Amino acid sequence: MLRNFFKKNKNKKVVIIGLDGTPYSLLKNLINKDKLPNMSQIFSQGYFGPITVSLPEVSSVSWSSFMTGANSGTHGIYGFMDFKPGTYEIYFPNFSDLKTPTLFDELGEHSKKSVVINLPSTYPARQIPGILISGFVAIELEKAVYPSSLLPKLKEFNYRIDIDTSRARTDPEFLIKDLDEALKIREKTADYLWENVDWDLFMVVITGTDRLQHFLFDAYVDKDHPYHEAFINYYQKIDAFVGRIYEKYLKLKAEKAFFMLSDHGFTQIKTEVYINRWLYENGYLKFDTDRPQMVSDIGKGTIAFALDPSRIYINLKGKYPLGVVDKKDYHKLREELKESFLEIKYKGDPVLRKVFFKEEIYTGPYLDYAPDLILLSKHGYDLKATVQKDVVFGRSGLQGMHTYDDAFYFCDKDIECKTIFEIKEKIIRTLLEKCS
Amino acid sequence: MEKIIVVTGLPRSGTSMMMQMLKNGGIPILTDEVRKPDEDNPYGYYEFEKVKELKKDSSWIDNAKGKAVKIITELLYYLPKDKKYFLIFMERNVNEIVKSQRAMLERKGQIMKYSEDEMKLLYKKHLQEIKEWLKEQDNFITIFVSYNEVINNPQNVALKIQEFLGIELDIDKMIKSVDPTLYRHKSLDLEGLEEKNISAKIEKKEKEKIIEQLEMLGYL
Repeated sequence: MLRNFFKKNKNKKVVIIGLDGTPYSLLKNLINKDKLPNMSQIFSQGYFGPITVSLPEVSSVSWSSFMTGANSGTHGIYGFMDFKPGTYEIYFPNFSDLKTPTLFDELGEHSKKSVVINLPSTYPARQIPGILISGFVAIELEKAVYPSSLLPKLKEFNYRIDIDTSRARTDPEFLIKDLDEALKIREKTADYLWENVDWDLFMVVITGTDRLQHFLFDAYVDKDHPYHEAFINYYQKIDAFVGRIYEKYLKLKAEKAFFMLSDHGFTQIKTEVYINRWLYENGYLKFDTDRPQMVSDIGKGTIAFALDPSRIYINLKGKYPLGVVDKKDYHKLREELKESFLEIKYKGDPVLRKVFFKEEIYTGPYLDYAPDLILLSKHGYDLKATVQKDVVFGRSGLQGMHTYDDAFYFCDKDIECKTIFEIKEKIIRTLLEKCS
Repeated sequence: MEKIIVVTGLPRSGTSMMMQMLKNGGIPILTDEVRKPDEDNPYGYYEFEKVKELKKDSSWIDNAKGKAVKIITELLYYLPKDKKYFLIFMERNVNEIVKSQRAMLERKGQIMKYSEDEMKLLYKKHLQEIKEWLKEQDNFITIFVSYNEVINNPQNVALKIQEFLGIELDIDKMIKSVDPTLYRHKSLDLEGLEEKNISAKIEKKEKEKIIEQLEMLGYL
């Protein structure tokens, strides 16, 4: 049985569409209202359900977990930013810092080629067996493409990695227009690569969904919002895009499987919760300046500090330059912090659902680099680690926040997954297993 | 109390390398040197023949007090339950392990019994089982050590081992005992990937753009 288990089948294909930040509940709601006819039909056969994702529930971590099937203790990415070991110096982990091979690398060892478009956390692009166009956070197109011979064609398409978020954040009219533009370019690129490249795995991620929801989630929730129709209309364009890809997929002359997923869900923000401000007001965090700009402005006497969005670090002696906490006090302090965090209330309502210790959710050789506590908030309470606020609760203008437990997953072959960590293995087995 | 230090891991996961680090760090090693150094392990295997009989005979275990002994993962189940063990569990990418094993067998004129894919599957399953089992054992105190981290950052690993064991070690000698040229079966043959913190080389301008993009989405 084992000998047959991995018998190669050269004529198998997998297609994956990622919708960054799309909640399972949103899709169900819009499908029930007959707004998404293509996804309604596609999801009616196979397995469609909610999944939980990484903690913290941010794209850099979650997509890394999707690609590797591993948690942060193994793949090494804990957030969009991190401290250089032994310092308070911030750096921005990128694809080069991912410590574990991706599913594209593993498939490549079986001579399977992947086309990957706009997958977050893959910048700068490096060689993979196939083609890679990096997604967020990606700064220069020249560094976001492998192989570089694809660049002229992408420039011909006016390819853009992301919308202009600095303008879109405060200009809904521009946001809708720029999302539309970006979607057209993404589809043009996908069409081109689908037809002109020999592939076994084809993946395209739409990140516009995440941008729309960060900036205009109120428009989804409120039927009377001036941009409510525009919000729904964008999802209908996504639905049309999915429908077109699915039609091409059906025409593939191969054994095949179709997957869709998101890397986290979304919900409306009630209030932002500035964790570093709370730590400061409760005596755990000190700064060496009156106007701290970043958490690296940490000062003497600091016991604990936070990194976005929900990571708490204990300022251990021997681990950090200004470390004050003795190892013998570590566990007691963790318990104390956990209890205190769980007591944080907004208008009488506790803001946190749970507080985890690192070893409860991470395993692997990079556990030492993990935050000591990880906070999971209740829906509506958007945790932030900015140090520039002088209140614990407030708003910034963003309307939607990420959620851990309302992401979605679909497979037309009835392959069930409950977490983002399981998907990679299922995809690999689909491509490498003997056809039944 | 003298500690029993056990170095474990799959074959070709860096167990001999760790034994050498510990030896050079000042930890006595329990070995009989029956298996001599060769091309696959030019600095030696640091094995103890009686470990192979652990299933039937564990009477020698008291000889391991205050020392490090290499025991493969499959035999951990047979260690006496009335003793406490400080376990250094070496981890390496399973693809690299299988490639390294194949190369070693080929050098000896032997072939692998199973295909590479079958070996990977069997190893992954075994690792899952042994780790689940270790979680249940109160008499094992475990540290997981990445083979890649030993190669790329031996100082960090040496300091972690020192802290884990609670024994002062000769860190400099431990670092010097790591030979990166013996890392021969990289799973990904990609130029520059093994260089850590390539992100540190991103230009300042790019960093400013990253900060701006993250701020727009509320991450900073």
